[in-house]
Amino acid sequence: MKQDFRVSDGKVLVALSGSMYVEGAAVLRERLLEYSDQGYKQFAIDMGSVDYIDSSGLGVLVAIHKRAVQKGGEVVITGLRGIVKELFELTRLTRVFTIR
Amino acid sequence: MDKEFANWPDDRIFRTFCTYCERLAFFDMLNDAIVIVAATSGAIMFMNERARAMYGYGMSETAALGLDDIAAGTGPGLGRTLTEITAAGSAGLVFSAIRRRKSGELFPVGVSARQMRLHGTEIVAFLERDLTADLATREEVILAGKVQQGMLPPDFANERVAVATVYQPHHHVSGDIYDYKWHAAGAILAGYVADVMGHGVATAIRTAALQVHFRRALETGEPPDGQLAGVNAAAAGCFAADSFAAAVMFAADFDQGVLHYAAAGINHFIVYRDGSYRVEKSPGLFLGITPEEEFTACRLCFRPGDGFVFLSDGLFELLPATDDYPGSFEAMGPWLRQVAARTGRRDDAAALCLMVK
Repeated sequence: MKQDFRVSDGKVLVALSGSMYVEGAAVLRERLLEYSDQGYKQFAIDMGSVDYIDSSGLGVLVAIHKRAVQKGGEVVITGLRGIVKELFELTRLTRVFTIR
Repeated sequence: MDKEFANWPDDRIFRTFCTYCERLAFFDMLNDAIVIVAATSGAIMFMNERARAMYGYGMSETAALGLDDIAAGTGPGLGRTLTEITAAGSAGLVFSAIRRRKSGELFPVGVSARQMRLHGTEIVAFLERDLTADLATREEVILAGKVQQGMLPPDFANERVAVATVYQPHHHVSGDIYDYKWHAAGAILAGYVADVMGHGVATAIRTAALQVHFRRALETGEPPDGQLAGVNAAAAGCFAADSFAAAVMFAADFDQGVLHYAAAGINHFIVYRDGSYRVEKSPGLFLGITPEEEFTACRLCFRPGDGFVFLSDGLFELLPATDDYPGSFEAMGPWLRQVAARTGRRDDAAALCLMVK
């Protein structure tokens, strides 16, 4: 799982690619919580190149969403496709995140 | 010569140390206990401040000590001999051992030891950590795990249904739980499997709180979607800023031959019929995200010989393709227990297997 992070206009931009399992999810969680602790509350996560995500990966996204919303921010997910999109629809996370 | 070593016997290398460096002060800065022993005689040549505090000896007392004075012996669980450590060469050995304080109290330590040459003398250096507190914590966690497991129901069977349970915490305590209740009056088996995000002690505490809400929900006799909505609303306080749970609830009506169910993040379960398996999917948001969430009521007809497996993601993600499941549903419970017990598992695992008679 490849993870790229950058900050632009006060927003944390994350580009993910590959398959996300528990190890990758732990790294992602660490990085996102770091940004959250620094006061960032707007996150844009590009998942256009993500082939698979397991429950731990979804857990990280939900966790950062809950934190962002508590601070008045949001998590925007872009590029959902294939089985990852199906998983978001099945878990109804499409109604939780802003999906573009 | 350092004043404090002036009265040490000649065979103690620190007596011959030069005075123009403060290497011993450096050892005293370390937070781990260091014990340096003569490789041949086992005489203790040096204990840093941490080691002296751990063993209860003053600096001057350490000069008269040998390894035998602080080691409770060698052998399984007790420690390794100097010969074994020396034989391991520069790779050294990592092991646990039982040590003895000046007071006579025995205590466990984690040890990293290796032979080396120090100031021209062959020595064995022991880096030691007192495990007393770690082991006490571990015992508490193991006990908590047993208590947690004791709160889960055992396997169950009557003339209508057989229930096999699977439960395998990742580290003693679990974020996965399940429960079921047989309502004899209506011939209904109602139950749930839930998976609180994460694993470990903090998750287990949240799980215990959630368990109370699920138990109450099972008593209501409401349909599963209503029960889930009730649990989700009532349990809002169980979920901290970044936690949530997945669950599936069901009610199997054996008079009607209908399985009612609703999903909240555990969006799949396994259906067995006529010797083959399939994965049934149903939509539903996790618990603990939006307090007024509504869950979809789903239903499935069943007949004698059918089977259902409700399971947490930690177990589902370990399963092979359905073609490789056991040929007979009676074997499903034991097979899932084997899968859940495999090494390398990265999450808690739990399941309820229902076999319709």
